[in-house]
Amino acid sequence: MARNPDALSKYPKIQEWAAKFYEVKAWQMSNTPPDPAESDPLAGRRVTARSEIDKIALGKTLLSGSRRAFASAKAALARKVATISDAATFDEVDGEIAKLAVDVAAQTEIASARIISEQSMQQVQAKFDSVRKSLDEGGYVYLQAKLSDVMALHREAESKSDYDTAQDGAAAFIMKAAQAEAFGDFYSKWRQDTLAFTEMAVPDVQKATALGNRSTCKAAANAETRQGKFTEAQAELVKFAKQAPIVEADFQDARPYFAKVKEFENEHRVTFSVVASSDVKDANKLKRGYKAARKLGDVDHKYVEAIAAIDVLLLFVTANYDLAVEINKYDKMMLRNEPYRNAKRDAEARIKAGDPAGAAQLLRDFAEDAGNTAAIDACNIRVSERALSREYDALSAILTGTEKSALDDAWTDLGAARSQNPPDYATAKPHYDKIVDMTNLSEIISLMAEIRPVRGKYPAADGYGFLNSYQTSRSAGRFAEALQHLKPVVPKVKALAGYLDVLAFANQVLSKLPGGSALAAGLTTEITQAEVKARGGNPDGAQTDLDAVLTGTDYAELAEQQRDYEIRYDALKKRQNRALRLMIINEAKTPLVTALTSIRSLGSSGAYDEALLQMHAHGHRIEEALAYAAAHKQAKMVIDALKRAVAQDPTREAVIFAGGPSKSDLESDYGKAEAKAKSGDYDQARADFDALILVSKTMIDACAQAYEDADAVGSNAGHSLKRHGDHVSDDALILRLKDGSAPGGGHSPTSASSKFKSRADWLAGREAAAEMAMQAGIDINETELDPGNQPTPHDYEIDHGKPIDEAFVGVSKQAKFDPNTGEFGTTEYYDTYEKMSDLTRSYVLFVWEYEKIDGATPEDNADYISKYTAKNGAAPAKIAGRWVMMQQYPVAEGWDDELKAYVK
Amino acid sequence: MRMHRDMIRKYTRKLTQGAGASAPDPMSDLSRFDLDILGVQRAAEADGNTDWLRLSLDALITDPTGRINIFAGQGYPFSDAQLVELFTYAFHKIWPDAMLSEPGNELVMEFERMTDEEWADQIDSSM
Repeated sequence: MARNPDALSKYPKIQEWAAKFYEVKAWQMSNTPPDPAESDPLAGRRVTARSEIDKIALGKTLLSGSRRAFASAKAALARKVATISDAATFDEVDGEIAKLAVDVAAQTEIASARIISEQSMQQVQAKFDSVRKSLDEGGYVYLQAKLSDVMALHREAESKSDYDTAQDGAAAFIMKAAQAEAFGDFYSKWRQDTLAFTEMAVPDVQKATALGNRSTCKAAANAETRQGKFTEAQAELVKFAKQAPIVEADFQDARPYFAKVKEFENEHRVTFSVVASSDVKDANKLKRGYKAARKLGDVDHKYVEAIAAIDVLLLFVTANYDLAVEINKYDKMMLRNEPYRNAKRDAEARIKAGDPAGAAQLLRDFAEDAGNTAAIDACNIRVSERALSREYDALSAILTGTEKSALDDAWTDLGAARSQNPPDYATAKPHYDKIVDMTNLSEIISLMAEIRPVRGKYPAADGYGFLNSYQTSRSAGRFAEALQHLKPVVPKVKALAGYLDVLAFANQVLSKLPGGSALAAGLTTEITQAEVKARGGNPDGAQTDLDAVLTGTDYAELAEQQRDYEIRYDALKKRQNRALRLMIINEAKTPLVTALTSIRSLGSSGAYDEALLQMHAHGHRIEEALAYAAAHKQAKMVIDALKRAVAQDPTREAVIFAGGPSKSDLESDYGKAEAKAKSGDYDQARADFDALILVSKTMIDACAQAYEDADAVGSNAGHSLKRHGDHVSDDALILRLKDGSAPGGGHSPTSASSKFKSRADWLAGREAAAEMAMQAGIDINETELDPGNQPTPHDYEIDHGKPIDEAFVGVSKQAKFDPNTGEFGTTEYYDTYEKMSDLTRSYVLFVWEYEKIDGATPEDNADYISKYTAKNGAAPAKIAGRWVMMQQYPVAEGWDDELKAYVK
Repeated sequence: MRMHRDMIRKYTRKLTQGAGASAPDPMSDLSRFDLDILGVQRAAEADGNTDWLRLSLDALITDPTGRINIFAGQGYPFSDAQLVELFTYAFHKIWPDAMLSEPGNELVMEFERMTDEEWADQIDSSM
C-alpha cells in the first residue's frame, strides 16, 4: 500500500504557502505595537482580522506538512496583524488571510477525498489479494493491470475530483473482482476435477485426447479472462465435459467425491492423524479404512459409497478426538496401572454410548485424582526425554550463569535417574519438577523481550518499581511465581513507553518556553502531577493527561511543530543513512552530513519553520546523492571488473578494450567524476559516471561475455547472461515459469524469472560480489587451494542502489494429480505470475569448480585427493580448480512492487 | 518462541539457492547439496547459531504446514514436501546423531520478521 505523500512535494499550494509564510514573516514589522487604547485607528480591523484568522480551522485530515505550512502562515499573519500600522498594508494582509482561508478549505476538501480514496485503495488491494491465487493466467493479467490503473489514479491524484475519479475506479474494480472471484472458485475446482477425472476414469488410450481438450478449453477461457470476460470464460471451461471421451454424467457424479477428498485433506488430515496414532479403541483401523474408501472412489468409481465411507471415518475421528488427545499424554506403560486402565475402558464405553465429552472428562478426572499423582509423575518422567528435550535445548542455549547450570544439572540428574533399570522415580522427581518449573522461563524471557526496548530506551523505567516482585521471585529460583508476578505488570511497563515518550516530549516543549513564564510554570505542574500518577501504577492515565495538556490550546502549536519536526527529521535521517551506506568515498558524504547537522541545530533551537523548509530541500539533495552513489558504485565495479578480467587472462585485453576508451582514459574520466562528487556536485558527478558507462558499452558487453564463456567451460555455470541478460524477452521469461524452458536453452524451472536492464548492472553485481568475497577471505582469482581447505559455495546479496531489473514472479502453480496415491498436488511450473519492475538487489553465488581428473569432476577435496592419488600414485600438493559464478540474478523475493521497495 | 525468520533464512538460502539447487533436477540426487550443507554448517558455527538452526529445522520439518514455503527462496520452485526432504537431509548431515522430534514434541516456534536487536532481546535471559 502506498505511503502518505509528502504534502510539500505533492501539492503546489502547500509549497506556495510554506514559502509564503517565510515571506510574510520577513515583512518589515514594527518592534513596538501601537497602543490600542489611545492611538490605534486600526484597532477594529485588527480584531476583525484576528477573528478571521482564528476561524481558519486546520483539521486532522490534513497531511502534517499541510497543517504545518498553514499553521505557520496563520501565526505569521497574526503577528503581522498585531504590528502593521498603515491601512494599505492591512488591505494586503486581509487579502492574504482571505486567500489562506480559501486554500485551507480547498486543501481540507482534498484531504478528506484523499483519505476516502486511500481506504478504497486498501479495499482494492485486499480484494485483489483474496482473489489472485484462484485465477487463471488471463484473469490474473487482466486484474493486475486494472489494479495498477486504479492505484495510479490514486497515486497521481491532486484535486478532489481526481480522488473522486480514483474512488469510482476502485468501485468498478471491486465489482469486476467479484466476477473474477466467482470465476476463480469455479476454475480452481474445474482444474483439479478435470485432471483427477481424466487420470482416474478415462481409459489410457483416450487420455491424450481428453488432456488435449482440457488444454483447448483452458486456452479459450484464458483468452476471455484476459479481456475480463469471466462469464464467457466459464462457458468455455464447461465445454470440456461435453466432449468425448468424457461422459458428462460420470464427471458430474465424480465431482462431489473430489470435493470430499479435498475437504478431508485440507480440514481433517491433522485430527485424523492424531486419532489414528492414538491408543483409542479401533483407532488402528482408521488408516486402512481411509485407504479402502479411496479405492472405492479412485479405482471402482463408486463415488457415493466412497463419500459415505469417508464420512463414517470422520464421524469416528470427531467422536474420539478429545479422548485421543488425553490418552496421547501417556505412554504404553500406563496400561499396567489399573486405575488408568479402568478410566480408559469407561471412557471408551462412554464413546460407544455417544458421550465423547464425558469420555474425555473421565481421563481428565483421572489426571486430577491425587491418588494417581505418583503414577502420572512416573509416566511424565519416562516420556520427559522426548517431551521436554527441545524446550530444554532452547532454554539451555539462552540461559547464562547460575540459572543455566541449575537447568543443566537438573537435566543431567533427571537423565541419570531415568536411565536406571527400573527408573529411579524418587530421585528423578525433584529434578523433573525443577525442570518443569524452569520451563516457565521460556515465557518469562519472551515477556521480558517485549518490554526490553522500553527499558533500553528509558533506563528510568525500572525506577517505577513495577518489576520488583517478579525480580524477587526469580532471584529466589521460584519461576512459576515469578511468571505470575510478571504477567500483570508487562502491560504497565509497555504503557510506560508511551508515557515516557510523552514525558520526554513535554520536557522538550518546556525547554522551548520562556523561563519563568506562566506557560512554563503551568506545564511544569502538569508534568509533576503526571509523574505522581505514573508512579502510582497508572502510566496510561498519566499519558492521557499529558497528551490532553499538550494538545490543548496553550501548547498545541509548539507541540505540533516539535512533533512534526521530529518525524520529518527521523525519516530524512533514515534516507540519508541509506545514501551514506552506498557512497564509496568519505569526502562525498561530508556535504550531506554537514547539512543535516545544520538542520538538527535549527530544530534544537526551536526554529521549526526554517528547519521544515530546509528539510524539504535536503530531501531533494538526498535523492541526487542516492542517484550519484549508485552511479559511482556501478562505475567503480565496472572498471574493477574490466581490470580483473584482464588480470585473470591477459589475452582478453585486446578483445575487451578494442573499440572503446583506453584503461588510462577511463581512469582519468573516473577521477574527474570523483572529484566532482568530493565537492558535493552530485548531479554532475552522476552524469559523468553515467557517461563513462555509456562510452564503455562495447567493452562492458565483451567483458561480461568473456566471464560468461569462461564460467561455462566444462561446468554447469555460465548461464546467467543467457537467462537474465538484457536481451531476454518478456515472453521468454514467462515461458520459463510456465514450462521450465530456460532462455538460451535448457530446462530450469524457477519461481521467479528475471532479467537485468543492462550488462553494466550485471557486470557491476558480479564484481561487487567478488570484492565482498575478497573481504571474507575468498580470492575468486585463485586456481589452487590447500588440500585441507575444503571450499564451500559463497553467496552474496548486492544492493545496487538503483533499479536494475524487471521480473515475473510465479503466483499459483499448475495442478497435478497422482493416480497412484490419489493425491492432488502442484507441479514445478506456474499458471499465473506477477510482473515486477525496478528491483534494486542481485543475488550472486560463487562455487569452486574442481579441475577434472580423467574426465570426471571430483565432488569435494577428499574425492579430488582420492582420484588424483589413484592416477598419479601420490597425493596432490594442491587442489586445482577455479571459482565460477554459478548464479547471478535480480532478487525479487520480498519486493513490494507498489512501494518499489523490499519489505521482507 | 519467536524466531528470527531472516536469520534462519540466511542459512536455508544456501540450500535453496546454492550449487545443488542450480542443477537441472536438484531433487534427483541430494548429495549435490553436500557442499552447500557444509557451507550452512560453517556459517551457523561462525555466527554461534547452530542450536537455533537445529531447533528451527526440526520445527519446520516436524510442522511444515503453511510456513516451510517461506524458506523456499527464489530459484527452483521447491514444493513443501521437497523442502521437508531437503531440510531433513541437511539436518542429518549436520547432526548425524540427533533425532528429529516426534510430531507435537517439536519446539513451538513462530518465525517472524524482526531486527537483529529484537532477536538479541529474545535470547537475553537477564532479569
